[in-house]
This record gives sequence, C-alpha cells and structure tokens, in this order.
Amino acid sequence: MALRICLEFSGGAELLFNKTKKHEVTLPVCEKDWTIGSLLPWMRETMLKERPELFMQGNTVRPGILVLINDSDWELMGELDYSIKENDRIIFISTLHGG
Amino acid sequence: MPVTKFHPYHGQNIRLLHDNMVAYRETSFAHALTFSEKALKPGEIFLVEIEKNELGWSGHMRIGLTQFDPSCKFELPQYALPDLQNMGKSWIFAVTKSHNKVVYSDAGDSDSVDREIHQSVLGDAEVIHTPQGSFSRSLLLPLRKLLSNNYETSVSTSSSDSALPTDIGSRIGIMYRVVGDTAEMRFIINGEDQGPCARNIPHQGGPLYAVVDVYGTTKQVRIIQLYCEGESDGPLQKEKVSPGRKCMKCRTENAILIIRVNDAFCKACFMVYVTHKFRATIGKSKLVRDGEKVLVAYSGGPSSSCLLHLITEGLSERAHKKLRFKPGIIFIDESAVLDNLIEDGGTAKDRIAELMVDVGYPCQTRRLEEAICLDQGGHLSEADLSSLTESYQASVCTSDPASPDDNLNKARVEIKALFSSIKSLTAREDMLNKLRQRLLMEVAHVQGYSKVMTGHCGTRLAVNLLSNISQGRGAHVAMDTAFSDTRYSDVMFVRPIRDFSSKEVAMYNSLHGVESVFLPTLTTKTHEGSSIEHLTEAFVTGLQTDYPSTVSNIMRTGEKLSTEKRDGENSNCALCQGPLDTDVGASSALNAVEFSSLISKKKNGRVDGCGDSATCCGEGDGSCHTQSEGLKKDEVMSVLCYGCRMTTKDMADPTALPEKLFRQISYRIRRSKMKEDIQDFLLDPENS
Repeated sequence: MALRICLEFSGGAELLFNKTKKHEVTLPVCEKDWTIGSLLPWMRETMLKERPELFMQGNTVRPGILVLINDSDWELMGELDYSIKENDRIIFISTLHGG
Repeated sequence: MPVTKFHPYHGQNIRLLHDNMVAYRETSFAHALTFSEKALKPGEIFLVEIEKNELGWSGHMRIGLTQFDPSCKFELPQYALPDLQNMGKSWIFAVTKSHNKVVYSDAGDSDSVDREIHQSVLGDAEVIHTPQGSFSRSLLLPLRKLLSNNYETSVSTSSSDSALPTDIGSRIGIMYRVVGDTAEMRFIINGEDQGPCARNIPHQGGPLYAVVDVYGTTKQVRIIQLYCEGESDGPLQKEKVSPGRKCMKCRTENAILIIRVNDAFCKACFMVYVTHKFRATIGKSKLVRDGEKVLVAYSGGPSSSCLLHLITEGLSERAHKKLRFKPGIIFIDESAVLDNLIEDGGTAKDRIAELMVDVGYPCQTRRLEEAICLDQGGHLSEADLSSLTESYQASVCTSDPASPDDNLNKARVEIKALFSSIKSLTAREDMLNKLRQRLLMEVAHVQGYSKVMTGHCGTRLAVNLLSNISQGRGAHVAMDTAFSDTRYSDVMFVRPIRDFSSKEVAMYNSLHGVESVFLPTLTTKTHEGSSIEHLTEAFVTGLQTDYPSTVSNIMRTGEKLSTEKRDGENSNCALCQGPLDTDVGASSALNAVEFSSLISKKKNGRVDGCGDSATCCGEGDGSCHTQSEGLKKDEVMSVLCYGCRMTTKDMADPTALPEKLFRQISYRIRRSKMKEDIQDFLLDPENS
C-alpha cells in the first residue's frame, strides 16, 4: 500500500526543495518497509532540486540538519532504521548558518 | 583492557552517569548497591573516587567483594552492611574517617603475620605493576594530595594529612590476591595499602565482583580507569539509543529528544530546562539590572527568534520570576550587501517587521549602510522614538528604498563598492560582522541602551571561536565568545543563549511554534570550503554529530582565555574596537612578517617615503604632514588589529574603506602624530 506522509523543511533546507516548506508526498509501493534510510535516497532522486551534497552526506543527512519525526528527535526513533507509517510528519531543520 | 564500568543492575536509588562510570544516589541513604560490570581478576585494583557527599547522614561508603553475580538480578538488600554480608559469599568493609588500618587478629597467628600486614602490595616504585597492567602511583592519590606534593612546602604535609578517606576527592581501591588456596582482600585508601581485611576467601568458588554501597554521606562515586587511560580520556561518543526511552527527569513521559551527550528529555521537562538555563545565565551574570534598557538584536533567524521568545515569556506576567529589563528590538537590513542573493527578500522582510510588531515592544529596522553613513548621529536621534506605533512608522519609512535620503543612498552605493572590492568570502563575511556590530553599538549608544543582547547560540560561538583563531583574531576570542563583551565603552554586548546548542534552539522553536524567517546570507548554498567560517562550521557540526560534547568542550576551553585590557584612546582597533594586539615585541612573528614585506617592497623599488608629493602641502620634504588626499596603506594598517589587517589586506585598495571609517582613522592618526610631535613640550601629569 502506498504511504502518504508529510515532509517539512525549514531553516534554509527548503531552498533545496523548490523553496517550498511543506510537501505532501505519497511513497510508492515497495516490497520492503519504508524507513528513513530508504526515504532519503528516494528524496534525493525525486524531490531534491539542486546541490544534493548540501542536504545529504553519504547515506544520511548532512551534519547540522535536525530530523524530527512527529515532533520527536529522530535519534530516539532509531534514526535511519525507523520504519515510516501512514501520515507521519517528518521535519528537516537546518541549523547551519545561512541554511 | 576495556573501560571499567559499573554493572547496569544496581540498587533502586542509584543512577549511573557518564557511560556507567559514575554512580549517583538520587535519594535516601539506602538501596544504593552497585557492582563492577565484570568480575575482578586476581591483583586487579578496582578504584573509585568520591565525587559528592551529602551531609546529614551517618556512615559512609562501603566497599568489598561478592560472589553474587549481578547479572543474575538477585534481589538486592537495602545495605551492603550488614545485609549483603549476612547473605554470605560477600566481604564488605565500611570506610570511615579514620582507623581504616586493619588489625587482623586471628588466634594462632604468629608475629610473622603481623609484619606481613604492613608490607604493601603496591611496592615502593612510582609505577605499580599488576597482572592486568601497570599504572602510575599518582593515580591512586587524591587530587589534593598530588597538588600539595608538587608544591613541596613544609606546610603541605599537614594539609595533605588532613584529607579524610571519606572526603570528596578521596580515592578508594579494592583488590584481592591469591595466597595459597584462598584469597585475601585488600583496601587501598589514597595510595596506602590498608593490609588484608578479609582472608580465606574461596576465590575458586566463583567470580568475585567488586561491590560499592553508595551509602550515607557518600553521594556519588566515579570509577578511576587504571588500565585503559588512553581510551577513557577521549571524548564521549554518541550511543545508539533504543526507541521508547523515558525522560531522564520525570521518568514517566516518553522522551522526545536527546540533548547534551545522551540525555533524553520529554517535552515538558525540556521546556523547564531551557527556560531555567536562560534565566540562570542572565541571573548568574548579575549584569542586567532592573529597568535597564536593552536592545535585542533580531535577525529573523532561529537563534534570535528563540531569544526573543524567551525574553517575551520572561517578561510576561505569568512568568514565575519576572525579568525586569526594558527591551527594544532592532532588525538590521543587510540587503545592501546581500542584494543579489535575495530573490524574495521583500516579503521575508515584511514578515520580520510584522513579527517584531507582534511582540509588542519598541522596534526598529535599520539598514546596514547606516553604519557608514556620514551624518549618522543626527539621523538616529531623530528616529529615537519609544512608542510602538511611531517607531514602526519610522522603520517603514527607513526601509522604503524610495525614501529621499541622499546620504543613505550614497552610503548604499559606497557599501556595495566596499564589498565588491573585497576578494575573498572570508573577508567579506568578516567585514559584514564588524559593520553589523558597529551599527548595533551606535544605535544603542545614541538611543541610550546600555546593553545589546544578541542571539548567538553555543554552536555558533564555538564556530566563531575556531574561525576567529584561524583568521588571526586570537586576541579577541575571549570577548567574542564570553557572556558579556565589554570592548565598547558604554554599551555592553551580552549573549544570553550562549549555553544553548543549535539543536536545543531548533527544538525549542519547533515545540513552541516560534516562527523564524529565513534570509539567505553570504555563504548560503555555497560549497563547504567557500569561507573559513563556513568550513569551520562544517567541521564543528560534523564532529558534533559523532561526539556530542564537541561544542561544549570548545566553549569551556574558550572561557579559560582572557585578554589583557589596556587603556588609552589608541589602544583599540579602529574597525572592530577590540584591543590592539599588534603592539608586540621586536622579535615577534608579526614583526618578522612586516619586515619581510618591507624588504620585498624595496626590491620592487617602491619605497614609500614621507616626501611623497601627493600627500604634502607643497614643501616637498614632508615636514608639514598634511594629508591632502587619502591615507597610505601602512597608516590605515597601523590602527587596525591583526585580524582586521588581514581583512583589509584582502581589499583591492585598503583606502577604499567607507568615508566615515576613513575620517575616524585619519583623525586618530593626526592626533597621535600631533601628540608625538609635541611630546617634548607636554607637562608630565605626574609632576603637575
């Protein structure tokens, strides 16, 4: 089943995503469960408009970008291993100076 | 050897900290049993230091060995003595203020045993060898004793002896050694072997764990690593956290974020923690007085939005202890410099203005070019309005680019020329910071604000600290990162959220729904190495991800630095107002650099002499010192600190500095020249 989730960007991270702060996206059906670890490459392929190195480093987000899953620190949710559920709200906040 | 730790199974009142190397009794005096994570090997010393005491209880820490395996999660008794001892298979000893020397009297023992008691297992050498490894004897000593030993004064003996085994800092070790078929247990208190205090321990009957009862007066103990110094000295690495952790404070709510090294907080506790930290930082400094006028610098970004929100909360009636200063808010419009970078700058700025008005304190928008605008003094006082509506109107009118303010428009052109003449992004960023700082200072000065609050968070300051050092601003690091910056005579800069990490700021904003406006800056969307500051930021945040104590370590180190403050009108840099650091000895590195640049100039055949006709009134011999045109590069440099020299060196022509700055500099140079010339005729103030 396809998953509907909400992605939000702030602190300058939105500049890389079409300058839009809020994105409602539907994740396509996939054999395996969607995790943050598989969401990030998908975002890079389909959503990132420019400069992927400013958002990602290796297979994770760039240091200085805070990830909140339903208002909780992703470090408490298992980081890349968190499996995404329907209607999850994932926020990416850049804490870097100048985004 | 791996790190020695406490076993995760412990008495209910114990909380283990610092990666299970510290045991802290949260409440009461009982239910505080802790064990070593692994069984001790023969000869291995398990050493703890008393870190905290709590008065009002009787009795102190108990320490010993047990053959009960903590991994079996057996039901823990209340105390080590007598309960655990009575359960058998345990040998416990109470540490007291004195009389810890064991007098072991066993009927049938001969004199030879008595002599053996006093023979220390530690030997006399500086390095102590045990089967698990060797370590320095000094590790067994309390810090205080070590210090007094180093001073080697006659009084030191009395002071070191007065430290009790139960005092904070005292180091207590436990070990056993095999004697024949059984083992004997030994205590080592502050480097002294207390002799065998239990014998005939059947060590072959099962592994022996060290047991520490954090009992009575003793509140917190830490394991001292004897066998893996190198590893334990490194910074703490981030741990993988299991989902569904509880808040470490209230222990009932689910945690929503991790801060500091590995502390989980729930929403309510985090809010209390942040507010408390903010209030405590202001309170502890004792600098902000009741009714004082404070200018709050607001950039629209997350940190200053967070600061503004904290201030509004603190000033509101519902706050527990109300803050009592009078804030005014200022936003500096840097579009003159960032013009080409901002595409929808207009709407963002409007939003910032709205947000400022919503807060309900006097607010104003200033343009960066005012920092170099000539008739600045008059212009500012004209707009010195305290009532909200009027100042808002004033801000609207100044932010309107069509306003017929010739001086400002001229300054705008000038500032653009200035920034385009600076080649590197590093120097541009530096110049922007300095100009912004100047403008804040001047506005505060003219409008009678005695303090300026800026929203620098800890992460930002840590980055600034390192990048300042790389840019030759080492002399000002202390001022640039401390809570208060006193370089200006009548305006003090304070940084109330300097103890916050950028993560805490972002979390606070997100949880409180604090809106921040994003305005791009010079380094937005540039690659990592585009400027020193940008590169340093990538470095610090990169380290912070794996080692969460990075920022606080940098900050704590910065706090230990200080700069000598000198008086006199010419002791400050003309650009950044920091104390001049260029007045150094003849054999300094700075002089060497200057000398070599002088030599290379001579080779080019361009020696700048005093008799340059362009700068003379006509005599031709330079005797008049009249400056008809501009100043020479060297002269401008002479009134700048080392860091600002580096920045101006990067400009195509250092004399392209804004006219306002230029006038100040030439005024200063003329004054000092005049002073030099009439030096011989001045009356010595001490004689008059």
